[in-house]
Amino acid sequence: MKAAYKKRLAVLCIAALTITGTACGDGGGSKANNGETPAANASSHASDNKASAEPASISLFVSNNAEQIPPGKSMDLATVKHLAGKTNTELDITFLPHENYMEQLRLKFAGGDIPDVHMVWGIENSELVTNDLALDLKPYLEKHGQHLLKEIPQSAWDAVTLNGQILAIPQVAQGNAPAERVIYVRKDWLDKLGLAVPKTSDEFLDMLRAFRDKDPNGNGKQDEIPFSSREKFEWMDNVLGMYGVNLDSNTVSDGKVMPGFVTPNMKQSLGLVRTMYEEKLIDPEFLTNSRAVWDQKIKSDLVGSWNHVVLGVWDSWQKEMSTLLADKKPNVVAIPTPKGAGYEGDVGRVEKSVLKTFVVKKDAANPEAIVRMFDWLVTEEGQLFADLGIEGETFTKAGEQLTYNADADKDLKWRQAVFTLHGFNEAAQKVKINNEEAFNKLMATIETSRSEGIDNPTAGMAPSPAMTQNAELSFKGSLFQEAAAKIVLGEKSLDYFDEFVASWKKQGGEQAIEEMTAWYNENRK
Amino acid sequence: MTTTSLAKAARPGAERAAAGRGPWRYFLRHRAFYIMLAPGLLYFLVFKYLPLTGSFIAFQDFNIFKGFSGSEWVGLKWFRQLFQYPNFGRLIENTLIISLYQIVFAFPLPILLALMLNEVRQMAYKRIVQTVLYLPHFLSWTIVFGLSYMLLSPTNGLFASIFSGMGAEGGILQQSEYFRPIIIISGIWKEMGWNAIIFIAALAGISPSLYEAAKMDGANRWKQFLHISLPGLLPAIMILLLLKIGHILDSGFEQIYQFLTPAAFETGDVLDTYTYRVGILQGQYSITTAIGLFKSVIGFVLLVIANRVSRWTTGEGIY
Repeated sequence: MKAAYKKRLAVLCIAALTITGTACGDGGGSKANNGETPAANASSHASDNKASAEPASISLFVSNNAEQIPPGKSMDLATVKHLAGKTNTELDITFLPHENYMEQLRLKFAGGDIPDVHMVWGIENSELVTNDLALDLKPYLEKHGQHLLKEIPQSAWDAVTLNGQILAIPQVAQGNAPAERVIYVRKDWLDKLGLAVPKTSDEFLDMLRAFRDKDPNGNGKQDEIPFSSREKFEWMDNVLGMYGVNLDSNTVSDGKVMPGFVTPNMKQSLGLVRTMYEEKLIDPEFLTNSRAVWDQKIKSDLVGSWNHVVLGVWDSWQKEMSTLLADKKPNVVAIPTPKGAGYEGDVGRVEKSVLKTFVVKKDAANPEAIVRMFDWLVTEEGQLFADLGIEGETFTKAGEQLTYNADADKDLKWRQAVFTLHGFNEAAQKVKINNEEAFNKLMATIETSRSEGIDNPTAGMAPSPAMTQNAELSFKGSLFQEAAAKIVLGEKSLDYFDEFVASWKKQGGEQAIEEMTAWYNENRK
Repeated sequence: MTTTSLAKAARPGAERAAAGRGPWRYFLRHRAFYIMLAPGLLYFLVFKYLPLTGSFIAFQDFNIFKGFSGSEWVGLKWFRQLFQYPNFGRLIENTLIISLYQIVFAFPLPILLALMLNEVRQMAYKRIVQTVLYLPHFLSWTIVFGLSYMLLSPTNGLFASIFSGMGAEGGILQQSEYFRPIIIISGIWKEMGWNAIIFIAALAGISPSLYEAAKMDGANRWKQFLHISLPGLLPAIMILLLLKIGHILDSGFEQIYQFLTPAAFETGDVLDTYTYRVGILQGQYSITTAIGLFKSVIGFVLLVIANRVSRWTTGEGIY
């Protein structure tokens, strides 16, 4: 009896272990297959005058920008092959998922998988830069990067320069509009209710109140969401920016550099959001909205106002809403960020002179070829490639006249997201949009954005050691997130903000401020 | 089924082995079993024991580019940072409470389910119920969260009108009071059927002759349940309970991470979510390891104590 018992026990043990074992095993996530591609089989496509030389192999990690990218080797994609052929290179591109790109990148690096070139949104995010393992591109740029140096403005180079070393190739802010986000409003709702574009935060609130009460979508139900944003207090930058701060902005005051979210201005901004929540002017689910849910709400004629990137005005907002809500004749416009009540100063989005950057590792095999490839992307030919695709297949050029075939251009979305380095090519944008009204709308939005923006005194600064070692200090940490949530949801008074700042400083914030100030005095003053 | 027959097949071999001389002959005679054992052992060696040696980075300021040898030693710095974290008490409290709720509410249900299914005589019906109940196990937590959202969202949720009466403005998904119940209930929904499998298997392993004998002695269904099914299940229950206690500081990262919003940090921020925020997201591998080590030590101590208690009270234990 006893023995049989023991045996059953053993069997159970094994079963239990197997179950827990598999449960642990599948947590590892998918492994991308990015082994080194042998450089042997693709040299036949080199087409320009350097064709005599062997194509240089370059490996790259970039974000897939949340687009579907055809599977398979990158050199099998017509778009990549074209670029490789034009620049006499052999490109091995790994597209990492956009949602957790930085995390994936860290894991790759931790696994010893470091490509020649990797994309990060700002050099401060690159572990290679912070560990002094990024290549100084200055000498190579002088030799092989004349187009880059000419095309990309100094402010962008400043953002990738540390101690006189150029540590990355920057992509200029889209539309050359560094304050890259704006407040969008349904102009058709405004017109229907006879409202003017708000100029102050009070007028902005009044506009939202009208959206809430006067049934602008005309379905007889009070289901309008006057303003919507997304989880972690993100995508409300310009609302916070009515008082000159963003979550990721830094402010210089009294000679000290500190994150915007611990300044008195943020207290005012949170007060504004608190009022919006109290009066049901902001989406009650703004703390849980994912990108998809948020997008869905806006496109189902529920949302009156939201915050998004400048170049989104036509594709996707106006373009898709015109199709989805054809009978409503939606009209999406960007409004200049209203000024916060009692606040004088810059408003809007913190200026990002670069959208993203490409960092080259120190021991990359072909730095000249890398610089040459990026250099080609900002030539007129390269700009047309990024915007319109392959000449003769997706567009044709007769003299100055461009003709674009949108239906043939399947790779458009990810190609322009990955390979655009220039700020704005007006001619290419014009044929791409192929709609006078939409083009004017885009230009107007860019104009709105260019005329505002919060100064960014610390562009290119690596996160201070105090903040990396204790992530709770960043705006994504629980300190700020929780305090802000409690204040906005009305669980705590607005003055709780001062308590939060005091506790933030005590837990290491003071040190972070010191480190940031020291960096600023050394590098930017 | 196959496991029991395997165990039976092993018995004659085991008896002969006792007569054999020397470990090598014993090994040769049973080589088939050892070969079958090898992949399992290898798995534990490679994925469980080898990584253990990396634990020492908890005492370093580990930098992936400098590696094990080049990184600076910092002693107990990371442990100090963890223990001095002002919300450390809250993290532990949330972790323990959620785990405790899981043990009290979620743990007994699969047992109950298994016992109830065991009483069902209609085989087809039993199979269907079992399948339907364990299917949610194969959904990811992202999808389960999506489903909960569709039920509970205040703007377009199915239950929105019910909960709006409960004074929950932003929906109960944003309210700290409802966070733990939601975690427990969704956890039960997803895992109950799956966790019942082990108990169903254990019940199937009880010899039918015991029931026959009981029937002969005039035991009714209830008595059979009380004196055969339940005692027969006890070893399985104790093992799984002990394992669960060993994992008391793991409260299910994937699930909690999906459901957690800043408004619910007060009741829902657990050690695992903290680790993710400060460690993984920032590439701070040392503090991640330090927290993991801390959790393992606590889990180990608890497991030893619980095992002692269990052996002392019920005579069952995992070693």
